[in-house]
Amino acid sequence: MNKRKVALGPGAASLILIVVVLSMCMLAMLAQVGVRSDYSLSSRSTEMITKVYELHDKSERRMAELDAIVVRCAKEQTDRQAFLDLVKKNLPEDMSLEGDIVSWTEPLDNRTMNCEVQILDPAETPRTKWVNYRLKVDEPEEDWEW
Amino acid sequence: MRDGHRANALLVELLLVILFFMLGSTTLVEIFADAKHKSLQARAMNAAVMEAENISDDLYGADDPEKVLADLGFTKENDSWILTEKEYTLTVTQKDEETENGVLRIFTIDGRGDGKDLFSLPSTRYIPKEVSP
Repeated sequence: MNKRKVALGPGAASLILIVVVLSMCMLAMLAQVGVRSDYSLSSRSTEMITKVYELHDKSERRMAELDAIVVRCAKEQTDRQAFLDLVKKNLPEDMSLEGDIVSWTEPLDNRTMNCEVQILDPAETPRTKWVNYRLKVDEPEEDWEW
Repeated sequence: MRDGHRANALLVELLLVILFFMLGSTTLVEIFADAKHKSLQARAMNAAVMEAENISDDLYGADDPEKVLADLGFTKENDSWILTEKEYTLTVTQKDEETENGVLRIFTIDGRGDGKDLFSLPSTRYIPKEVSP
């Protein structure tokens, strides 16, 4: 039986080292790229959630502002239709009244939050009620980062 | 004589290879460790923000927010409520703002993980007061 002699010549170890180190470099690079994109996605998602909650905060403040208008108008007018007309007259520019529903929008980057509040009987508490509270995406984002 | 030279050259080469391999692997291990650390941070951020959203919604609808926080496992420290999980810490603080005819009940949920601030979510609800006509 022939026995084949396997000899490790000079340079073979260096070649193996180069192959192993290059492969590990590639793996490390891929791991870093994947993890960085995951982290960036998490950060962006957290940032957007925070902005949406800030928008909720803003809309609740607008609700308080509207409630103050309702109370002031209710003190001046007792007739329901006259009261609603007075509310309409006293509303800020960005709010509109249709029937007994007051609506406005809160902008956020390429999104808008549509808010609708119903005016109830001002003699009772609560005087206003949320009817619609919806976040709408206007157009897709075009901020791809490669 | 020639064989001796060859054996020496091989030995020197192997020593150099081992040296470079060790240097290279030290750097690569650091890169892998950094990737693992970043992955854990991303996971913690996701978990913390999801928990904060749930808490915010619970607080919005709560008549007795302190009970809700206690039920969720928060502990009261000074003026804030703290929930410590393995990967993150959530701190809830309450601030009431008087308005013309009601109160704005504002909870701020701060998320902290790995020694840095992750986010700060406000949860606000307007509570109207009874007003005499």
